[in-house]
Amino acid sequence: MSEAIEPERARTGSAGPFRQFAGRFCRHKLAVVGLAVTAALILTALLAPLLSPHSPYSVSDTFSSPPSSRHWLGTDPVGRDVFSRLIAASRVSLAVGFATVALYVTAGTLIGLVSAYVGGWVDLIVMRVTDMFMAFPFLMVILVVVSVLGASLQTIVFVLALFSWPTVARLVRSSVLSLKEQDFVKAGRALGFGAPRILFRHLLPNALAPIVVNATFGVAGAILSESGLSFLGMGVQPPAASWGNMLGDAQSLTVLTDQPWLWLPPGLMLLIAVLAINFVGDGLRDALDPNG
Amino acid sequence: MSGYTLEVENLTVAFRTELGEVRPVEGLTFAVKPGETLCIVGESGSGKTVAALSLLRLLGKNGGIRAGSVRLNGEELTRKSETEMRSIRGRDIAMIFQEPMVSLNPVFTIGHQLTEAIRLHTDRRGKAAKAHAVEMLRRVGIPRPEAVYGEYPHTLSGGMRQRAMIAMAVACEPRLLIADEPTTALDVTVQAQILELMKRLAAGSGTSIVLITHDLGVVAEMADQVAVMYAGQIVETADVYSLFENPLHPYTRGLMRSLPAFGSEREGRLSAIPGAVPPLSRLPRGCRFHPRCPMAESICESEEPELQPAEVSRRVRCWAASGEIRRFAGRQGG
Repeated sequence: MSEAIEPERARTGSAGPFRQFAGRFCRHKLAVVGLAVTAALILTALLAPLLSPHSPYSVSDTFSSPPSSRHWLGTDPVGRDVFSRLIAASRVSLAVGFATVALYVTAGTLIGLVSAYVGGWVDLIVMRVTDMFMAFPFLMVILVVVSVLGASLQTIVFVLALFSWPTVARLVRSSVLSLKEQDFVKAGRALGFGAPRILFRHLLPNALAPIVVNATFGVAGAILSESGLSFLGMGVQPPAASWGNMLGDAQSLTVLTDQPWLWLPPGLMLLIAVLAINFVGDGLRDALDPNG
Repeated sequence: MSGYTLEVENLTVAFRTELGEVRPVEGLTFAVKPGETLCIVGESGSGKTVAALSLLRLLGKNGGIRAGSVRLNGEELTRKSETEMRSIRGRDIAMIFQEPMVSLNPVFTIGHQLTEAIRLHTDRRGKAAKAHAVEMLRRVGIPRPEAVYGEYPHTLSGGMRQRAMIAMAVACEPRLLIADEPTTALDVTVQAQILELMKRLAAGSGTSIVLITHDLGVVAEMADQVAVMYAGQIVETADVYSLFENPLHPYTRGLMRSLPAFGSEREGRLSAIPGAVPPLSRLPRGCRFHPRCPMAESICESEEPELQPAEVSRRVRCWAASGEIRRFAGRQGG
């Protein structure tokens, strides 16, 4: 073969997109800290039964007692160990966060992909439906739906997801709309690839970056929303613990002024979890943005 | 068997637009023998690309073949279902696009994209698919094919990407390769290499090539047969030697005069064809070229010429040219 060898950019072993992305993410110090904290939280949630010194439901003989060597963060008015409940609550809160996001990101991505690729009247209808969902006073609707369906973990996940997918659908739709005009899609069709293959194998990976960023912020958002609902008594129902309903139980003035161990720990945990996940999201956004 | 790889007859393509139906390609007729290269030449807007896409039936939602037939090895393609077409695309007919920089998916390695096509259209799987992919990369002259197999498109130069695209296109040994301005976006030095490569691959496998270009230099380099397109119609077809020797249509002559030539007796300024291709919604009456034609007569403004046989195996769509031929034939006869 006597082909002229073309001058090519000298590079030894091209770094894949993942390696580049990891490098950029690590430059964002807060994001790395956030990732570590998030990982620790997830680990705690997974290992909750092993880590908690008491059962989160068992009642001891001391009520509303301040932190002691036996109950590190004291006990609540029913006599349950606050530290154990805090750990159990991390499980619930993170589960709601991740489950909600998994549900609505999947739904939103599918709807957005199909809407953009099919176009025409399908696209028109889907977009008007998302407009409708985004125009609802969603807190009110959530409260109504929860009262109708009854408060439970599944209901919260479902309701939160129900009002979050339109954002993702719009996000995916707009990236697919610009991606599908690219020549590699035309080239794929000329190679005989069918629509599903082009949609899921070729377009979706290209649209993944903004979805991942949105999903990360979504986890933090869902945790906050769950807390809000639980605080209002419409979320996770006792005796199950969540950071929101632990805060909700500490609403009285005496608790607020005299028993800070009842509301300070769940409040702080909420703050730490949401901050950590949002930092991860920031880092992801910077790392995935090709112009960053 | 007809002896042709591709036969296109009277192909008309229509698009629905807000201004009503337009026909970017009308009455297209040509045929390509195995191993032969046909060049479709014309300015921007002459319908070359639409013609190419219509062969693969990739016209999108608003476009479609309105009339005529496309036969691949005698098999009619216009009546095939979408599923049947999908298995023909990439396997029997492959296409190379103009912009190698954006024709590869940026998030997958070259190898991934190459084996995807191979797995789809052949029985090769796993190691066999990879081995074939690496072999294809080697055959298109990519240095270090094993390394390039694992690289992402952004690490390759334009010429290398176009080679990778060609590797993808010919990986399943198609009978017909459609190349839409494959070298326009490349450096001149790389252009020659890519053309050489396409020629060699086609000669090796008997693949026919339909090459779309606006560059007469490319035509001279590559073509066996040439079809000159203007405003959606073929205005002249000929073998490459007769076309350059004696262009019959005034448009073809204009194209040739607008080429700079070294060492010829032609000196001084280049001549350009005045004006531009008319928009499809406002085609002139009569001959579509007459407003720009230096030889236009009154008949050209009112009646549309047919694509008439002229000489042996040539056709031309022009009143003046076919008139000249008739007079010439008459003189010889009498």
